[in-house]
Amino acid sequence: MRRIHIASLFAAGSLALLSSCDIQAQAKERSYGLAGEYRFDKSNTIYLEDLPTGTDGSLLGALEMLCGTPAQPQFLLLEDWVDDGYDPNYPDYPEGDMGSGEITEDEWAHIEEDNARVFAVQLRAIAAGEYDRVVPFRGAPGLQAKWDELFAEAMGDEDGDGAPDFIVEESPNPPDYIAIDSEEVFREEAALLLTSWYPRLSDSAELYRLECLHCHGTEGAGDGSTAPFLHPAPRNYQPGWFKWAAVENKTKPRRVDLYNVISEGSYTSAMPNFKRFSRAQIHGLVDYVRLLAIRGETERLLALELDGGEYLTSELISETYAGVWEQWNGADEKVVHCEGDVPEPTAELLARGRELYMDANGGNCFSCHGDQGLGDGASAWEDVDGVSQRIVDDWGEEIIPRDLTSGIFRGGRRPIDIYRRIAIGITGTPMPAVPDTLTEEDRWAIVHYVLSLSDVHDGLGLDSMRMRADHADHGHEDQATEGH
Amino acid sequence: MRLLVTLLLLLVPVLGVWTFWTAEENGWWMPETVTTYGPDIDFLFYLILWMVAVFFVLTEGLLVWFFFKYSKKDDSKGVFSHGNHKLELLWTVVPGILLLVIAFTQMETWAEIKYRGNLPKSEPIAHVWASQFDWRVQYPGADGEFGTWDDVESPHLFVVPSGEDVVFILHSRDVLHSFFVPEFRLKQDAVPGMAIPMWFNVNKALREEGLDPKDPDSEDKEAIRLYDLICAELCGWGHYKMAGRMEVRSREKFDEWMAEQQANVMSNDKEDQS
Repeated sequence: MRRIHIASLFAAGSLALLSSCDIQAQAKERSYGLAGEYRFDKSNTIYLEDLPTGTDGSLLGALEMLCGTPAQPQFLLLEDWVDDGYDPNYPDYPEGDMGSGEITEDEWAHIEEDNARVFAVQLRAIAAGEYDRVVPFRGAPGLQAKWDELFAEAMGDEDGDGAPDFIVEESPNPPDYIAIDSEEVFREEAALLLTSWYPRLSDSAELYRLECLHCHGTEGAGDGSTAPFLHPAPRNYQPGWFKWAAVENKTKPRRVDLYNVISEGSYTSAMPNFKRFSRAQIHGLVDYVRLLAIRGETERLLALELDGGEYLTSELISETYAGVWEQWNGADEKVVHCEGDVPEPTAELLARGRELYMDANGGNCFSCHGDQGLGDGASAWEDVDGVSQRIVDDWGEEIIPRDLTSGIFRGGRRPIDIYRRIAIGITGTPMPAVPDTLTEEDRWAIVHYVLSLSDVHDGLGLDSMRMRADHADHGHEDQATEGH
Repeated sequence: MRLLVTLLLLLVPVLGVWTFWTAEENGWWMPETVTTYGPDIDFLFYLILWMVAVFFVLTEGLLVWFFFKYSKKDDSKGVFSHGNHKLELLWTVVPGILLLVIAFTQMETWAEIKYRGNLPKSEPIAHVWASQFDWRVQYPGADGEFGTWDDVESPHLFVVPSGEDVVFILHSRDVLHSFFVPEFRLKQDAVPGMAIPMWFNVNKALREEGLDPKDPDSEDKEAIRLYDLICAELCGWGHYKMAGRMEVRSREKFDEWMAEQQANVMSNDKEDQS
């Protein structure tokens, strides 16, 4: 009797555990939804339920038309684009030839080189004719499908002589296949398939689903399942603002800005570096992040129109979409340049930097970062109903000014990275750009002063090194006591 | 039935031994070592493995035999034993001796790899920072000093020269991590607040990943080799993502890379996507 009780208790427990799991999670990953709220900044928010009844369906439909689904993400082509032979779905093809030409020839050479490294094992297997060792391509369903297709066609046996034919009909897709009539040509083709691989948006969506989605969410709204546990919160792509970019405040980032963040990560935040991915994969993720950002911003703008009593006409939809695209394509014009080399940090430059750091009309850095750079300045706090609280950023998250003595800089620690933080500020945060009155030299002075705050002059691990020096002096005694 | 169950039990030692026996040809075995002290570690590994193997087969064999012998149903009464003093002495003293053998055999190897007094006299090449969930390697900039404004920071990638003693200092920014490169036979916890000096000397480069596959006979074969740098201490939810890459280069190629990185720090052009 008791045994039955225990068994039923166990069964009930397992059931409860099962039902607490979110079995809908997979479904959510496979289709885009609408954001619950459309936020412009802290004060300007509209909610899904504010929209006129029934319009959320048409909004979702419009977005699907523009950007596809997670299984088939695809940019809708504008009429002008078709005329010009421009297609943002194919950044690896030249512009005017049904591509967007964003991947330069130099970069393409790097990608091919990197592909050869990443697929080295497979390429060797192909060269040796051991085709079953060409392992599945994780996170790249498109490549897998192409390989399977190429392989199946090559290995077909239409003449029935028991040996593979290695004959493939002329394909309607010239860039992908040509006729294959011998094993040698097949090997060349197979190797080319791998080395010249560039992920399509659907490949990148799959990689995103595996690696990025659990923080950044299906729609890139920074609302993945791990997001609530993270500080700083994962980036919400939907407003199209990215902190670590070389462009003016609150403008769309360049391709390379997104590339660098994915590749190098944002140090000590939950965003790790993804250098273990190939160059092609990171480029693909950049494409997909851009798709999510464009989709998100179009959604927000269309929702505003709906909220204002407008109807979603195809004209309005395409105009909004084109407007968002224009901003993204204009990123290169917004770059904050810096001519010349990084100057050497002289004593005068550092003194000037300190002066500007403490000058309320100069850098005014001390007000948040504190006079010792510890991130403890008075302006890092604000008075809310008599209670002192941390200031918040535009995403509504508490923000702590960087402890400049830590030597950790999330947007990169190269002098030019720091220069850009000072010249541009940080998009979406209370960190402003320095005033225009500051000269180039002044800016570099602040950069070097900031970097000098974390300067430890070989002090890293000093203790152990000192111990080592001691050991070096008394090496023999040490071995005698420790070793035997 | 009795025989069947015994045979099933026999499967445990048989499969256990078979797994090890065929591991190498199935690609389950550990990768070949490439460092100077790797063979010493391997020797210790095999020494212990053989000790364990002998006693595994012995005890499992006895277990299976006793299982078969005494599972026969008969009406005889059980025998109560109060132990055997000699037997107990035997199975205490023998493992004791074996432990002492291991302890004395490993001492020199341990001292060679871990003792700070035995650290090679070369200057540290880098500080390696482990954090959730990322490896970062800090090299000195053009001024040759650590902790200054022109330091080179390399996420993910730890590049070292081959054929010479490489000394580096391991740190952790947050929780316990562990620096592990299987081919180097080197594993060390990174402890927050501690700066742990470590060393290795890659005198053999074996794995062929990263070669130019179009030209396997190229000179490059000996120039650049890649190894996995793994975090071997469960450090949080992203532990599985904490994979880095060791890149062993010839001195010439290493200097080339280093100069490139140092120039990159000084450059105002962040178009490069390295």
